[in-house]
Amino acid sequence: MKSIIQHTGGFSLRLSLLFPIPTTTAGGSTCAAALRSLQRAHRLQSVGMSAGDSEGTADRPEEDEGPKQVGPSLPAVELPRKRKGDVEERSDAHVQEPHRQIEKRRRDKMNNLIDELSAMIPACQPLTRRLDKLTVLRKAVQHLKALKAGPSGAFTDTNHKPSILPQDDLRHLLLSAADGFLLVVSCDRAKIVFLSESVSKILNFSRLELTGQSLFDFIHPKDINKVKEQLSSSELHPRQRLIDAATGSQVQADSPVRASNLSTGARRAFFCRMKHSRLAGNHEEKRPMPNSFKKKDSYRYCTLHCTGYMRSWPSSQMGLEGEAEKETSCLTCLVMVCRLHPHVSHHQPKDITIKSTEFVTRCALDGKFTFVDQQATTVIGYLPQEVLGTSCYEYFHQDDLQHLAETHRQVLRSKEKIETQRYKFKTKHGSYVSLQSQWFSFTNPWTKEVEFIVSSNRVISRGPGHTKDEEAGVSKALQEDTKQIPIIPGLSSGLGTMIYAGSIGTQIANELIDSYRMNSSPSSGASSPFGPAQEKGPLVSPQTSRSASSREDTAGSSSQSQSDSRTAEGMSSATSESTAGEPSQLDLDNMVVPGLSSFSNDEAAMAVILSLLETDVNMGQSGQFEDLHWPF
Amino acid sequence: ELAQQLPLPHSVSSSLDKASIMRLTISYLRMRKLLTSDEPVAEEETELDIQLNSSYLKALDGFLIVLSEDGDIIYLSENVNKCLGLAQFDLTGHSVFDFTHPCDQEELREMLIHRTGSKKTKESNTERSFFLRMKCTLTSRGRTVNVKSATWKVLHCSGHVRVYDPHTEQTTNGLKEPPVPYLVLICDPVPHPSNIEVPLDTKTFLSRHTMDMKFTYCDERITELMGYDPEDLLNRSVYEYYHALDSDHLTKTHHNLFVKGQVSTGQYRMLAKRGGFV
Repeated sequence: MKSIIQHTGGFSLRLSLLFPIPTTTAGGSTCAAALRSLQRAHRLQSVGMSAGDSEGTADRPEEDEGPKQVGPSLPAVELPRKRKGDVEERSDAHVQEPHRQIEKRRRDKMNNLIDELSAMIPACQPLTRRLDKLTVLRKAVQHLKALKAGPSGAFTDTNHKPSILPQDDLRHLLLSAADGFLLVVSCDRAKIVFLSESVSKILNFSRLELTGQSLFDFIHPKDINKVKEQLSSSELHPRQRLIDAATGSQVQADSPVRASNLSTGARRAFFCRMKHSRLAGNHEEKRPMPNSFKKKDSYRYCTLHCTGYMRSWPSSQMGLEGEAEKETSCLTCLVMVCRLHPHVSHHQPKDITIKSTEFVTRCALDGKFTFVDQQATTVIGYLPQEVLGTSCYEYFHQDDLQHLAETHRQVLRSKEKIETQRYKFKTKHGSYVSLQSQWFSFTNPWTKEVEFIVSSNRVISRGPGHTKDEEAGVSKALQEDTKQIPIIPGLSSGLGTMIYAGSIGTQIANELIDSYRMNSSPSSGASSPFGPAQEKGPLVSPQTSRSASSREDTAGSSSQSQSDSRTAEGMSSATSESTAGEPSQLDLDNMVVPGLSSFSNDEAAMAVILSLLETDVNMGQSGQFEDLHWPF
Repeated sequence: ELAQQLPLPHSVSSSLDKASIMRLTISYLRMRKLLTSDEPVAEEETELDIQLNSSYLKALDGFLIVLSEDGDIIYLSENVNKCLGLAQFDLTGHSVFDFTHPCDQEELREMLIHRTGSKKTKESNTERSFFLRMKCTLTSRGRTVNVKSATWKVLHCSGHVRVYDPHTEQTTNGLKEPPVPYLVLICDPVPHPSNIEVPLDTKTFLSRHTMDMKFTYCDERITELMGYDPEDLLNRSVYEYYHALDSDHLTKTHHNLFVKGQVSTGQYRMLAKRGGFV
């Protein structure tokens, strides 16, 4: 009983709007009044929709305005429906318990459907209120009418039964479900009579090229026999015996079976391999040698699943010549849908793309490595700990120094990733590997100073003859060592300058530091020695400022270089390794050891310079070295 | 009135009940929506094209089905009644889960999920291929039977998940609808080997096995194709002849066989007598 009251309560609200029933009365009496008015309207209409629907509309309070919109006829239509449900429920309450639920379910279903429908129709969408059912239906009808008149024009096709979907849409659907095309071949000569347009997507041949050709030109040679059989007409291939799979014995191929092979509607299904051209749009290559085998690169075969049926046309329609001499006047064709076989268990890799080895390194401002990815070992041969603390310039090839230094300078000033050109990096064993890197400087957001440079390095594959060239280049460069000084713009150059690997990095870093200093605190004490230091002599001062500044900003590297210098000192005398032809004497004036310099060489030079500095300390620069922790 | 508007043959439309009309209308509108979003291929249709449009369906062994993300059948092609005995209009708009085997529903649900690939993989895998059991009301004699006493038929479903992206059409209140994925499938029946309607050609041979895939019978055509005599193979498990890389796939297929009843494998390699794989 409770639910009845709910329902009636619902539509009593509604009714109160339509009829002058006083709303101030209690629910029960309203209900009764509503019923009476309904019964009055009983004779007006027959029940159009099921009882459930009327209840449904009553449940939506916000639709109160709906009926008003549509027109005065609506109440008359709606009421009987409501009435019926109500009367039913009232009369057989105890029996209709499950019936009520069925009604409710149907109601809900209808409501949902109506909602969905309204979501579909564009006209209904802008309105935010839920529309009354009839309105929705009317709009749906209008919409469908509009679609009918629209460009699809499927309904003008009188030959075929109107289907819920026009035929060309069906084709589109099919193509989106599976990559396939329609193929019609004549049964006698396997001539391709018709192809759908989608063949160009699958086989990369255009439709025009294939139409009229013999199908066998495009099928893998080993499949030709198979396809011949499938197309075959009345004579069964002698070896083809039908086997009754249930018993395993052969079934006599009697005439009714034979004839049915050719009759319209006989089905075929098989797999075959068809040629497809890898290069889309390149039609010229297809011309020569259509019988090329699988191994040729320009032809590949793809496996197709072909299903179809036989169909015959009277030859007059096709307009083909030469059909007159056939015994039958019909052209029998196999109409097939060929789909790319979706179920290939092993995938043949078409283009194997190898991801090139990449590794990441991080270095300080002056190019000294502070972090090296483990993967680097596979590329450069050195273990990370072997290169940490050394300047990257030691490993760069001489020819590349110029552009790399430029890039170094650039990256310190800009915030973007900069891609270097290809350069050669020396590996442990003396050979070179081609790399290309992306450099990116990381700035401390608080101090606004560049902290380090991140480099993402990528190996560029090199040809086999490379190593020899590189080695030749290396030896040549060694000879030119003493003679040629690579000119690196911006760096102090000249005969008196020591340009060695580490220096390039540090010098570039220094330029940056200088610019910071100028900007931030021009009168700091630390900057003063730079001025006179630089004027003094290109030999000594760059080293001084370099070492000072590098100490000041990266304490870690300073201690490292210091310890390196010590070890270098120890090793310098006993030096005799990696690069042959390296000058055993450290020529201070023009020692060029870019990229070819070994570990000890660099540090040996450093050691010498530091010792020189020591002597210079007394020339008025002592002040700056107080904070330097030198064990001397 | 609405029923008349639907593009259905008159005989059908007059006999539909209201719920069905609603169902069909909704599905129809959804289909139209999905299709209009695909780029219309601007091709001139030749006479032949138009004529042959109708033969697509006929040439297919199975039927076409379009499913929404929730499993509602948006569209079903007519030849479903040849394949399953159910009528197109009975099914359209209903949930596909009503007609599929309960054990397969989980699998089907997974297939419906369209995962948009992450930035790394630009193309998400849109291909779907699986086996599904659906209710079939065709008896072996070709007569249809009531849905309640339907048997299960195994279908090989293959297709793609396509996304309908309504970025080109916006609703008038400026809201953009999210892209809707839908699944388009072609469902083929798996041909029963004992069905002799379609003649086997010379490249096909028949073999029979016990449950653990030991040969009990083999057609003599295998001799010319692979070099074995049928007697060689008897009582040997066919797994001895599968290529190692394919054995994974074939094992899965074998499992599927036990679960579903019928299965078709993809391409695989089998060892020939004198070495090499076929």
